[in-house]
Amino acid sequence: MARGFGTRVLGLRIITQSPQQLDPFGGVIARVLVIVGVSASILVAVVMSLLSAGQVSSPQLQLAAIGAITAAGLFYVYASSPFRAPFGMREHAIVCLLTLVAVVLEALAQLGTNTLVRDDWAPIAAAILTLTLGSFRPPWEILLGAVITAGFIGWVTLLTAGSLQADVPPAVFALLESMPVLACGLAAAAFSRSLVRDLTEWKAAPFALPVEGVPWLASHRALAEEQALPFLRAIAEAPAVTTADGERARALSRELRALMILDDEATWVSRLVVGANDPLRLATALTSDQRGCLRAIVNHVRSSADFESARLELNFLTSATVAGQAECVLVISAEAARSTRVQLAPFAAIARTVFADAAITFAPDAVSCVFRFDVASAREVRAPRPSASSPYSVP
Amino acid sequence: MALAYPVERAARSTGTALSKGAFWFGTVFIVTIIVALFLITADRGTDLGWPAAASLVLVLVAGVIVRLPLGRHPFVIAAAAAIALVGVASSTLMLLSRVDSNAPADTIVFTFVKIAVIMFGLVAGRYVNPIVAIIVAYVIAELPVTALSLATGHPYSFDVATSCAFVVALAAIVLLDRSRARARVTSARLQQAATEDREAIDRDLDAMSSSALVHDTVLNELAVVATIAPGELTERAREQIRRSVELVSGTAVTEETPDFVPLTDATATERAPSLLEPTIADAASSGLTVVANGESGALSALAPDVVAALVLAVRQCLANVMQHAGVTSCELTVLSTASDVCVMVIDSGAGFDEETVDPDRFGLRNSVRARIVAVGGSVQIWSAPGAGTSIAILVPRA
Repeated sequence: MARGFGTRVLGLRIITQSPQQLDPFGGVIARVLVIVGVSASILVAVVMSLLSAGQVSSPQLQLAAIGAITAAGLFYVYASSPFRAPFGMREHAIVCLLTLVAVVLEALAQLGTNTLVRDDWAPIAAAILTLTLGSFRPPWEILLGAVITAGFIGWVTLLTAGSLQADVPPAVFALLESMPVLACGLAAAAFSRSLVRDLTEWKAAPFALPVEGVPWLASHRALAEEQALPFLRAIAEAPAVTTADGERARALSRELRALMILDDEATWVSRLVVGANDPLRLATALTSDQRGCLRAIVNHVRSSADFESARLELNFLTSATVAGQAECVLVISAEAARSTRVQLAPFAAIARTVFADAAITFAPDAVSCVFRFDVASAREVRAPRPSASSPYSVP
Repeated sequence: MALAYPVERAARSTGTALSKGAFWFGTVFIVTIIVALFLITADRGTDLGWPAAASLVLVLVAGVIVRLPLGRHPFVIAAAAAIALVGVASSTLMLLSRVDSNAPADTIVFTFVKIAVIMFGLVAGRYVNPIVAIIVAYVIAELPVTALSLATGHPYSFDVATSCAFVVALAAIVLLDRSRARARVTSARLQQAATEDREAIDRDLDAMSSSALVHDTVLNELAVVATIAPGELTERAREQIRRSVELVSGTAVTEETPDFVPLTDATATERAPSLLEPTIADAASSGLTVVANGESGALSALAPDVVAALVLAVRQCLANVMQHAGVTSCELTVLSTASDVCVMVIDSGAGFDEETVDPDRFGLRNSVRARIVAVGGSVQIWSAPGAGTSIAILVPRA
C-alpha cells in the first residue's frame, strides 16, 4: 500500500495527480486510445444520425450537434498530445462542455420527433470520450465530470421524453440515457485510481541503477600519480633540493594545471554533445531527471535510423523572459523524416513533466527543443557584500 | 528515480486497472437495468421486477466472482461463465415473455446486459488470455438472447451497440499490447540514459574532488619545491610533502580532514567544537590572525563527509586570504539554523572579480565551491576589487 496515496480533504483521501503526471510515457500510449475513442464517437454520431434520420426535425441542428461532438473530439486529441502534456482540468472541462452542447443540440434536433432512446448518439459519444479519460485526469475529477454530464443528459431526456414511444416512465428513459456516461466515468475513475496507486508505490520505492561503470581516472590525476607523486617522494627523501628539481617542479605544475583545466571543462555536457556551449555552467542546475531526459533524447537521435545524418547543437542560456530560470536549447539539424514527430513524442511528454517548461518545434530541416529549468536555487547570486556583523539569514 | 514506468510493471498495472474499470462499468449497467425494471414494475403494478432482477443478480455475481482473487483459477472462471450464462438466459426468457412479440432482440435492456457480460469477460482476462475471455463473454451474452428471441418468435436484429462494445474491448487489448511493444524501445532508452547519467555525474564529481585534492596537496608541494632556494629542506617541509603524497596515493576520491584522521560519526561529534581550530592555528603559524566567533559547536550536527569538505574548504579560503588579500587578519563566523550550518570567511583585503579569475586558478572553484556542492551545500561570494571578500559556505545538517 502506498503511503501518502492522495491528499486528505475534509476527511476524504483525494487523489490530485493523474496517471499521466506520474508517468508521462503512459500518457503517450493512452493517446492512441484517445484517437480511437474520438474516431469511434464521431463515427457513431454520423452513422446513428443517418440511421435515425426519420426522427430528426431539424437537420441543421443535427449537423451542428455532429459539429460540436467533432470539435470536442478534435480538441481532446489536440490537448492530449505529448507535446502539450499534461492534459489539464481546463482541457477536461472544455471537452465536457462541448459534449454537453452536442447533447443539447441533438435533443433540439429531434424535439417532438424522437421516438427511441436507443438511437440517440450523443450520450453514447459522451460515454466513449469519458471512458478514455482514465490516464489523463485524477479519479475524482473524472467522476465529477461524468456525474455532471450524466445528470445533464438525464435532465434533457426528461424534458424531451414526451415523444418517446415505449410505455415506460420518463425516469426510465432518463436512467437508460444517462447511465452509459456514468458507467464509463466510474470505469475511467477506477482505472485512474488503480494506476495512480501503482505509480505512487513505484515512485516511493527506492530506485537503484545497475552498476555498469568502467574504471576511470581524470587525466590530471593520472599525471599526478605517474609523475608528480614519484617526483615528490624522491624530493622528500633527497638530502637537498637542486635547481633542476625546481625546474622540474615548475614544469610539472604547469602540466598539472593545464590538465586540470581540461578536466574541469570536460563536463558531462561537453561529453554528451561535442561543442556544447554552457559558459555559465547552467547545466549544473539540472536535476537528475532533467539530465536523464536530455541524454535520452540525444541517445535516441544518435541511434535512430531516421536521424542518421543529424547534427546536434546544445546551448545553455539564461532565460530572457523568466527570472531565475535558464534554457537548454537542443537543435537537431536533420532532414525531416515522416516519423520524427512520433519518435520524439514520448520524450516530449517526459520533458514537459520534468522541466519547468518544454517546447519542441519542427521545421523542414531542424527540430528545436527548448527546455526551461530553475537555476535560482542552484546558482549563487551576486549581491552587495554583507556587513561582518549583520545577522546572516539562510535563504 | 527512473523516468519511465518499467514496461513489464506497466503491463501488470494497466491490466489490473483495466479489469477494475471494466468491473464497475459492467456493474453499473446491470444495476441500471435492475433499477429500471423496478421503476417499470412500480409504474405498471406487474410482477416483472423481482424474477428478472434475481436473474440479473446472477450475472452480477458472476462478475464479482471473476473480480475476486479466487477468479485467477480456471475452474472458478468456468463456473462464473456458467452462472452468467444461466443469468442471461433466464432474464432474457422472462423479459421476452413480457414484451411485444414484434419487438426485436436488440432492445436497450438486453444490450445493457450483454455489454455488462463482455466487460466481466475483460475482468477475467487479467488471468487468462484476454482476447479469448472477451470472445467467450460475447458468445455467453449474445447466444442465449438471439436463440431465445428466435425460439419465441421475435424478429432477429443485429445488435450494433453490443458488437461495438465487443470490438472496442478487443481493440483496447490489442492496441495496448502493440503500444507496449513500442514502449519497450523508449523505456530501454530512458533506462540507459539514467545509468549513463549517473556514471557521467560520478565522473564529474570524481574529477572535481580529485582536482581539489591535487590542488591542495600536489600543486602546493610543487609550488614549494619550485620557489625555495636550492639546498636542504626543513623537516617540517619534508613531513608536509610525505603527508601530501600519502594522501593522494592512498585515496581515490574520498577526502579526509586536514590532520588526515578519517572521521567517524563518533569522532566528528566528539571533536566538533575544535574541528576548525587546527586550520585556524595553521593559518596563525603562517602569519594570518583569524578572529573566530559564532557557534563552533554547530559543526557537530554535520555528517562526517560534510565536516571534512567544510574544513578543507575553509582551509582553502584562509590560504586565499594569505596569498591574495594582502591583509594579515580575517574574520571567521559559524552560524546555524534548523537545517543548515553556515561558515563565513570575511576579509577587508584586495578583493577580486570572480569573472576575471584565470581558469588555472582552482582554489575557489574546485577546492571550495566544487567540494561543497559535492556534499549538497552551496557557496556564495561577495567581492569587488578593493572592497574585500566575503565567502559564505552553507552546508546541510545531517
